[in-house]
Amino acid sequence: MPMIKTVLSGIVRSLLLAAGSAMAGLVFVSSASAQYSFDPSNADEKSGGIKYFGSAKDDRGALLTGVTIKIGQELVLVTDQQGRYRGSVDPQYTPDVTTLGCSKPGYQFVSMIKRPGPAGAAQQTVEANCVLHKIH
Amino acid sequence: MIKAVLSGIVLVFMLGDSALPAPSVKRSEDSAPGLTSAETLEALRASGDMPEQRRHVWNLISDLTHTVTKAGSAQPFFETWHGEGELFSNGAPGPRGIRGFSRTSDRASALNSQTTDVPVLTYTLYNDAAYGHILRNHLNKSTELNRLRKTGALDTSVAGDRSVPPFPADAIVLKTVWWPVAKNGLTTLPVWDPGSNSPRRSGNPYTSWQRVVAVDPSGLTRADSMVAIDFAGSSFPRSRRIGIDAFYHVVVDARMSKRMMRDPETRKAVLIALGRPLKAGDYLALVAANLAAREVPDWIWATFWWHDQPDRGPFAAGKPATLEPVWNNYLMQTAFDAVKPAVNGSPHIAFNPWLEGRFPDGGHGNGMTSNCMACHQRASYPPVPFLPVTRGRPDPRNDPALAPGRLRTSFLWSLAMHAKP
Repeated sequence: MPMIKTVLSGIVRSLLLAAGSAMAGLVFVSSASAQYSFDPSNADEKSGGIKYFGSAKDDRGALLTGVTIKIGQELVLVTDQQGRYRGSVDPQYTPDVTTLGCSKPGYQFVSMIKRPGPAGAAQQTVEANCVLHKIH
Repeated sequence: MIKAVLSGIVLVFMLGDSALPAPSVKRSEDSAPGLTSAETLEALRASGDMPEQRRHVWNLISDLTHTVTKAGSAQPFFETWHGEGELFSNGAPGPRGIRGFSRTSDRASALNSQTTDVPVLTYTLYNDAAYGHILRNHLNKSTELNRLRKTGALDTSVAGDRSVPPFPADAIVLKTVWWPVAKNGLTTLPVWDPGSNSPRRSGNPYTSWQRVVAVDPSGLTRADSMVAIDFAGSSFPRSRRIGIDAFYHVVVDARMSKRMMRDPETRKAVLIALGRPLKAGDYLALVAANLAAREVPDWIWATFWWHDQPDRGPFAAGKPATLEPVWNNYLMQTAFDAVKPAVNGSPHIAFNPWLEGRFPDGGHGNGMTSNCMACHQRASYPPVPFLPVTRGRPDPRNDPALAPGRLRTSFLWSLAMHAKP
C-alpha cells in the first residue's frame, strides 16, 4: 500500500490575492478533441471549479520542471518549464478534504504546503507548493 | 434496435469482401479449421462460451504478435501496420507501428496549458485491410461522413440511421498503450491488481493504483529484489524490480521522441512517468492494448495488459503454446457481446485497466464495469461523448448516440471523433 505524503496546510492570503489576479487571464484549453481521453474537471466544459496552482522547488530553492502534482487520487498536474503549475478542478476537490502529493523521479519528497484562498471569494483558489530533495 | 445475430448476413458480408485485399493475418497453425468462421464466432457469442471465446482471441493475439521480418527488421506483425497519424493527422507514410508515431495536435497552444486528466501514451494501429477500407472510402474525412449521413446505406441496427460501408472481415484495429522507461535508472510502473482497487466514483486512473513495480533496463535485474520507489505523490517502500525484457518494448530514437513530445497528451504522460521529456535511448514498454477484429459485423473485442504475475487468475486462462515468450506476460479479457455471458444478471464486463479503468461513474458504474461493445456500439457521427459508461443493450430512448439521422461508424469511435475536415 502506498504511503500518501503528508500535506501541511497554511494561510497566506495576501499572496493568494495577488496570484488570483494573475490567474484571471489564464486560459484553460479543452481536451475534448483529444485522443480517447477525458478530463473530469476541464474548465472549458464546466464553469466554476477550484483553481489549484503553485510551484515545485528543490531544497535549495531551484524551481523544478516535470514534477507531478497529484490532487486527490485521480487528478494530475505537471509543473512547466518555470517549475509552476495551474489547473481548474471540480468543486468537490475542496482543500479541506483533498489530499495533495508531489513527486519526480530521482527526487525525494520533503514537504508540500497548501494554502486555501479567502473563504467566500468569487473564485476559490488553492496554492500548494512542493519541495523535493535530489537523491541521484 | 441493435443488430441481431444473423449469420446469413455475416456470410454475405464475407462474400462481398472477395475483391478486397487478401487477409493479412496469419492464422495460428493450431487453430482448428472452421473455428474462426463467422458462423462459429456468432455461435460462441450466443452461447457465451468464454473458454472458447478466449481460445479464439488468444490465437488472434498469437497471430498479430508473431514475429515477422520486414526490411531486415524483426518485429511483431502488428508493428507493420499503419498508424493513426497516417489517417487522421496528415502524417506522411513512414515507419509503421509505434515507431511511426505522427499524431499531431491542432491545438498548438495546448503545449503549454494544463489539464488535470491522467493521460496514457496511446497509438492506434490499423492493419492493411482496415487502413485500405478507410482510405478507399474516405472515412477519415468529415466531408465524406457528412455525405454518407445523408446518402449512405440505411443502418440495420438503429432505425433512421445510415452506416459507413461495411469493413472487410479481415480488418483489425489495435489501440496500443505504452509506458516510457528511462534509459538509465529505475522507472516506476503502476500495476493493476483487481482485488486491491475498489471502484471509485471518480474513476481508477493509474495514479490511484495500489501497487507499482520498478522497471530496470540495466540488464542486471534480480527478479526477487525489492526497492523503494515513489510515484505520483506516493511512496512504495517495497516494490518489485522488473527487467525491460519482461515487456514487448522498443527503443526510442530522436525522431520518435521529437514527434511524441509535440503531442500534448503524450508529453504529459511522459512527464508523469519520467519527470522529463522523452529522449533518444529511452524505451517504450507495451503495457496494454485494445483489439477489434471485424470477423463478425459487430467485431470481436479483446483487451490485454501486462502483469508481473501473468499466470494467475481468470485473465490468464487459455494461453496457447504458440504465444512467443514475452506475450505470456500479458493478461486478456474478451467481449463477443455487450451482455453475454451475464453473471448474476449483470452484463458481461471487459475493460482495460489502463484505458477504461479511469472512467468515472456516471450512474451505471465506473470504467471497471464497462464492456468494449457496450461503448463502441454507440460510435456514430457527428461525434458525441463516449462517456458516461453505459452497460448492456443500448437505450435508444435516452441516448443521443442512438438518435435517428446519424451515421453509424461501424463501432469505430476514431472515425467519428478524428475525421479530418
